[in-house]
Amino acid sequence: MDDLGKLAVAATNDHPGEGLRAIAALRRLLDRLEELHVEHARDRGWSWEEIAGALGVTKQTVHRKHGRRFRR
Amino acid sequence: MFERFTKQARQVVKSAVDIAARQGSGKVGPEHLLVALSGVPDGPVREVLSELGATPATLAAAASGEQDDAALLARLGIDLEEVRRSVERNFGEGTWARRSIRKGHIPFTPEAKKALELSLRHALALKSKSLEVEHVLLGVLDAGPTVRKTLNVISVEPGQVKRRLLAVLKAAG
Repeated sequence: MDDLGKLAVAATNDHPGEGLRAIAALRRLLDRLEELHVEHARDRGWSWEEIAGALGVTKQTVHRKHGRRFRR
Repeated sequence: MFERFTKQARQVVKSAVDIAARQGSGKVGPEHLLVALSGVPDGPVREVLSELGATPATLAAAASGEQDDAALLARLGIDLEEVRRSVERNFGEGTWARRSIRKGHIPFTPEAKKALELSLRHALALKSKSLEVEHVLLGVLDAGPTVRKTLNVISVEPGQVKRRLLAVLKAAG
């Protein structure tokens, strides 16, 4: 809750640029974590359906974002 | 355009592409050329960059923008270093920095193209028949705000590098 509080403060800060840059940094962090977790799940033999289900997105979305990295 | 490039200068361009790919960056920017230039094993480019503390390690960290993100995330109460440690505890050492190499062609940014064009101009202005790594560095330094930003992370100004490099080149005749 505390982190969300800080996020809300950053997002409504007097300097909009700072809040926006913080959001962008957060998105990069999330993307990186998603990549790592998807790779881990694929290594463990998870299907794209299972990964999509756990992420709460469609199979198409997860495949579009990550499929390319696994094509060999 | 690449016909005048020396073998070493071509190698720098190639390794910039590899560096961008390893970083998971979708484009090759002048900052990747700069990181590649800092990895040149000897000569004036190596001398000037290492003198200013611009090594492959410091520049690669600066070019990735990770330090900026750490500061921004700290404002949100997120400790990026702690996240990294936790990832490496779970997935193994080195996993945080390791990116799956992007497949296929990675395009150059307009600034990177401009840097290469300017390096050709520097070679001509310095009456050199071939395009050497030092000309690539001069081009990269003039290419725009991205390289300035990268160098500023390690407290270096592009003008400083340029002056020092031109002095070294002049001394070498």
